[in-house]
Amino acid sequence: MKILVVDDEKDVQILFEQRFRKEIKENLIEFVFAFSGEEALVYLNQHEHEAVLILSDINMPGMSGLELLENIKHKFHKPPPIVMMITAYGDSENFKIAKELGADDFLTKPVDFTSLKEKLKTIN
Amino acid sequence: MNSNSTIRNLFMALGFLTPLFSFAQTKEIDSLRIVLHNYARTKNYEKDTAYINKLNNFAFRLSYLNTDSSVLCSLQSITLSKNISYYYGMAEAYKNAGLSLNFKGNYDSALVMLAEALKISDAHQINAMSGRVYHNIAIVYTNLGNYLKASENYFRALKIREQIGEKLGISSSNNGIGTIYFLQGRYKDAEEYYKKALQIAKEINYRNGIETGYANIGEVYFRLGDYKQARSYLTQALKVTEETRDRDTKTFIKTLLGSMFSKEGKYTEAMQEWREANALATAVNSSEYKSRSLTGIGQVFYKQKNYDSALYYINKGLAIATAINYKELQSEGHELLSLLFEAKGNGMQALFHAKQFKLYADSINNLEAQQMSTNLAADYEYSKKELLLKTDFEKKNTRQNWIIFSAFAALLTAMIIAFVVYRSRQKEKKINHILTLQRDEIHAQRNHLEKALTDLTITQKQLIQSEKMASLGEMTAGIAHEIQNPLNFVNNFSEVSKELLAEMNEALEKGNTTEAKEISQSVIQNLEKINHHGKRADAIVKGMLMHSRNSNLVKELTNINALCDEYLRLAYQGLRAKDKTFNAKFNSTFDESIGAINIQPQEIGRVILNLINNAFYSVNERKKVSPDSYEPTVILKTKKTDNKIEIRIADNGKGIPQNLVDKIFQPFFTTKPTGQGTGLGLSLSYDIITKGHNGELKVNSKEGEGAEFVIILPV
Repeated sequence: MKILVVDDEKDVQILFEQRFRKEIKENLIEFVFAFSGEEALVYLNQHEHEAVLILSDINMPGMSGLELLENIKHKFHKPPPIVMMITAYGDSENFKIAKELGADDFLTKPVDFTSLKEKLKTIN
Repeated sequence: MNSNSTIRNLFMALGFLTPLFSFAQTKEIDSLRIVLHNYARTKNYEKDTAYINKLNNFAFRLSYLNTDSSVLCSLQSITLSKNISYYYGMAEAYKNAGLSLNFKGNYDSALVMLAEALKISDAHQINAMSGRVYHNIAIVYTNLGNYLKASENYFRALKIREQIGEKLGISSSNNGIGTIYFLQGRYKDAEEYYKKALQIAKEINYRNGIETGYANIGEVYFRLGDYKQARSYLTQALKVTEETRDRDTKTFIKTLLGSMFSKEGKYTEAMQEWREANALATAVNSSEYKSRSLTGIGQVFYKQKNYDSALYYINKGLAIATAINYKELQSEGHELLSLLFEAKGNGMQALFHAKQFKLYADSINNLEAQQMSTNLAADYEYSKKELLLKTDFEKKNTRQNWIIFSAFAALLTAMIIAFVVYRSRQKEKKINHILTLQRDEIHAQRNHLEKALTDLTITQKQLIQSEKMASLGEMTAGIAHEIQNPLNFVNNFSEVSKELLAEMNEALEKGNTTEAKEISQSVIQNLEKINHHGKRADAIVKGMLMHSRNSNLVKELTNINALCDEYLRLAYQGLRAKDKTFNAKFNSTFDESIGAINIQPQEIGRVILNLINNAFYSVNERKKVSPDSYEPTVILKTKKTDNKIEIRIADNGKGIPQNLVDKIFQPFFTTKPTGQGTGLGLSLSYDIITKGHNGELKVNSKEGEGAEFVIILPV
């Protein structure tokens, strides 16, 4: 399973790679990282249908996570990848907008990796 | 007498700066600005006397805060008033212009403006205005050291003030006249007027007036050598300062008490007062009084034959006196040092300081001679007037006596002379009485203005603080978000490290050292990350604390790139938190060769935050009216040139119209909707860069294309 993680904090890459080191070793999950909404779109255009799941932060400079979500859900029709949005604690407004834009699921900051792993199992 | 010291003494003696708190003032200037702004949108507002009155009020309140803006407002008001022949408005505007110019130290121009105000108010019988104007003229002449003109104008103002019956004004008038007498060394006359001022201030419970009255009378008794009375008045003045919290006046009183105890040989008490005076002078940052108190402490040590301590304190006091070029104190310092070195048996040093003392004493004597000639001229003017009245009177009586008593001419001549002398004395008394009454009137306006000035100073401080708090509020939301990310990293990396260490143990037990080494590398990397993000959170919290702190303005070596980066993120997240729909691209290019430079980090941070906030605001405004293809962008760049650092903050927002470019650094100027901006951000930024750091703040802009602000700091 290929997962695209979108976040402007670059250390997220090391963190995910360590948190999922077993899954990566066993080739269960492959991670790709994009550090802005724009970068994520470029990747998706070049590698259509590769990423099964997209995990995206909302607060990013330039294209925000919400704009990215809107883009993905409109442009990648068949079948659109699953998009999980990472929202800040208590940010009900972004939650609502993301839901309207078609977000499939939500994670709250700080990300609970145990529950994320549970969720990934159900997708698989 | 040193002319600088005269003015300083005067300001201290009048209790000019009183840190009272009045939020009403802040609101008043702000609401005036808004009112003026709203007026400017109505039709024919420039022909409305209400608009002119508001404009005048605004200029008056700004007269001390920002003399240049105040003068500009007044000039505009003069033009508008002339257009509609509104004489009251015109006179008031000329008067305010004079007041601002006086605060600027531009005395000649101030007098020209005030003369114009007087001409208008006299021609149209606006008596209240004439009184105010005369009072202002007197203040200018006092600052110029022309006591004759000052007192003439005080008396004219006082007469009018009495007709109106304004008590506060009458009290101030008397105080002002007392001050003029005091400055001329006429202590008994000064006492009389100070006491009148005090009595009236008590009647209307005018705290600052009461405090000033007690302190001034105390100083008079001190000069007269009546220490018992002096102490009694100064003690009462001190009690009032407890209520007004006026530290300037308290410093002045403590200094007097120190001098007095020293003169009486009560060195323990003197030392205590001097030390308190020194602490206060340091707190209110008065160089003059710091120097006075340090010299006072040194003198006490000298008297107690503790020569080393004496040398230390007198040198410190003298250094400050020299820094502010205060001849009287320099002379005193050198005299003490000469005595001190003599006592220590160091003849060469004693001689050197004795020579210096003579040099400064001579220079003071020259100044005093000049002052004395002015005083003599004043006495001459007074006596000339009296003589004229006498001559007139003599003529009349002599004629009558020739007709009736011609036969007893010889005898009667003697009698007539006696009679004339008696009558002229009566007349003299009467004239004196009238003069006294006139003098009584002059002082009202002064205290009125003093109070206005005090309020304005307080308002200025409050406005600066409220601007700080406003930008702090903008930052808070950004900080919450900014701090969350590093904390998440700290938590995550530490958790994952724990797991990794468990795995490492397993690997070691299995004897798989290669894997164990690999894992340990990851743990080291994680610990570095934890450290990095911990520091990041720490820097944010520290930055916030520094930002809110009131007056910690110490320059320190600061990494300007890190500071810019931090505030750029804070500004961005702060705006995002306030407005979810807000978004903009931002990028930064840092010149890493800059290194650390010596600045006040929280102040420069405030400027950067303000400029970035403005940039984001501008791009956001443009986005609201632009097609989707518009990409709001803010760019921050730092660069080192020969001996300067440049910080450029550019946006592709609305830009600044050419006709507003000159105004953006003026206080209270804002293009934001009513209530959204204080109009002080750029004005404060400008002061921080130019006055606080000897730098430059420039703007390049094209309307509709964006703006670029450039901060240039010397290194």
